[in-house]
Amino acid sequence: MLDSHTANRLRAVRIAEVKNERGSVRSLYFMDEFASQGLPGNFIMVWVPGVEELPMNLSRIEKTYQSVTVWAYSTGTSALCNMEEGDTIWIRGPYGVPYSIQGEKNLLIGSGSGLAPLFALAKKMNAEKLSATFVLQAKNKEGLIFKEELSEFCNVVAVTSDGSEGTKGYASHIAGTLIARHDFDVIYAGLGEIEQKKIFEYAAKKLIPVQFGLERLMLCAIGLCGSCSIGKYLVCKDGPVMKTEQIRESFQEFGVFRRNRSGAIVPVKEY
Amino acid sequence: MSKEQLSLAVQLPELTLRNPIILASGILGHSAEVFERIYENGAAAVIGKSVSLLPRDAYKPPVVVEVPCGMLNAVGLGNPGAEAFAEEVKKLSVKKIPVFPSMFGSDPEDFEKMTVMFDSAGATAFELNLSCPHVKGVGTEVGQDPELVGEIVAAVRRHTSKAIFAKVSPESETILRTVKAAERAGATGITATNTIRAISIDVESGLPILSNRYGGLSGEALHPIALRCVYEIAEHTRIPIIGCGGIADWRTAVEFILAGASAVQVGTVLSNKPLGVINEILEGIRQYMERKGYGRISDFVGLAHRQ
Repeated sequence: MLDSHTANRLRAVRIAEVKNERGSVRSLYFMDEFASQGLPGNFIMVWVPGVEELPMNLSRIEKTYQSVTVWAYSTGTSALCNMEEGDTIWIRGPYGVPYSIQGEKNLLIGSGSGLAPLFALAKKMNAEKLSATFVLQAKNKEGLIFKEELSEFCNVVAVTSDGSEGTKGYASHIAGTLIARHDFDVIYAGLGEIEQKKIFEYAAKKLIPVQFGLERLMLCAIGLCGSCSIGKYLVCKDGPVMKTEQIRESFQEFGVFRRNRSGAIVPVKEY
Repeated sequence: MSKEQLSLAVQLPELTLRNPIILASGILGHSAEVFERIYENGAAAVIGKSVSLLPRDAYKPPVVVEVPCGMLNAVGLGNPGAEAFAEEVKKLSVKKIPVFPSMFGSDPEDFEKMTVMFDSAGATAFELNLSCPHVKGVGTEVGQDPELVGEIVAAVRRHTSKAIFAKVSPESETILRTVKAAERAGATGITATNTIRAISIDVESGLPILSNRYGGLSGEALHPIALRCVYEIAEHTRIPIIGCGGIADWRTAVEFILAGASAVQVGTVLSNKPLGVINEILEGIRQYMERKGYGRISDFVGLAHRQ
């Protein structure tokens, strides 16, 4: 039985393996009892002593191993990317509302850090013999993380903005075509919010429920500081996976603005 | 005592509250929409995250650590600045949701400027953070200087006729002098208490966990200490007190009222219980009052001082 007080304490775990995904993206494998009971969409807080504590989605969730997948874009993520087998990270959690499986025909659309939880979700859907089409978006071929593994059990549609691999274009555009052509039961998306907003509209036109992985500045992860707010919701407690109604209620902010480290309102960037 | 005769409303100088539970400062941030949700879940008023005249970034995580007896935080008084927060105050004021901006700083002139902004934005009352234990120069150092406290309270009082509450630290030896200075300068009441300075060390890395090393302890462990402060203040002065520190259920709230608090604040409990806990506490207080035959909260404020 997961005890939330114990789950909230930072615990040292050994990095059992480091996998180079594509480009400079790396996955850190470890074994943690709480994380092993996590679900796709859950995140953990990962502490690198002396550096930073960061929110990371679980990318693999198995009984005997779990992983987080790291893109180096900051001091903290670079420190994680430089870790080797045998090193220690400290983790707490898992936290957040996970993705939930609701139908048989699923469309998953992911890019960047949004890919990690969707990868875990696609694996779970496969284990439950459900179909999944996965639109995998990146700037270039280096960013098509998990493509090989996903192709083993998903219909993968690779999309790069520079056309270096797969279809040249943007996820929202490709997704729009797929949504119009097929009858998906649920649409899952984890990618830039401005792109997510376009996908939301396509889904809404056909009344298809959505579950989107949202990202906001994460400081406490336990619903105390309010830094991760979107509308009246907290990404750490009411998300990171949010459903159609919640997104609709937050529409003024969704894809438009977020709050920075001082809590000031700043625009959501297109990337 | 019939249900109709019982009222949870609290009447203080310059302030009426629909019930005795206020959201503590620093909890759930700076967004009017989140505050509205807390109000809809039963809180009588919300206190904003402490703001300074100019914006300030929060510290890098780790900013919270759960410990067996509560929580440590060193979020760092990160805030978007008074002007930006005044916009949130306006949104709440329009919806008639009582909001008290919490202000910090060390210069009375800064407090004056902030008071003007918030008063015209529709703030219901004011709380002065004179007691943050983990940011240098603007917290406990201010609170421990009764003369500066007096100057700050007087500066705020010059620009508003609304209620002003000075929030004190639980560890100050000068707590009663601070309280007296605030009272003399025109404060309506005292919020007792802020968090207490503490630390948590991870034994595997051998390092303090918080990025700021030191943080403020809140929750369970703070309760008997904050309660003692309220009791002590009530022994020595008649000034209204708002109790704060480790309230988790109706009993821990009633203890504060018996100790001398006219109203209470909740904070840390919202990180480990659903928002419904506020209404649960109110219901518990109501049932206690029915059992004891109290019709008003004021009927049992300070009763623990009886000989």
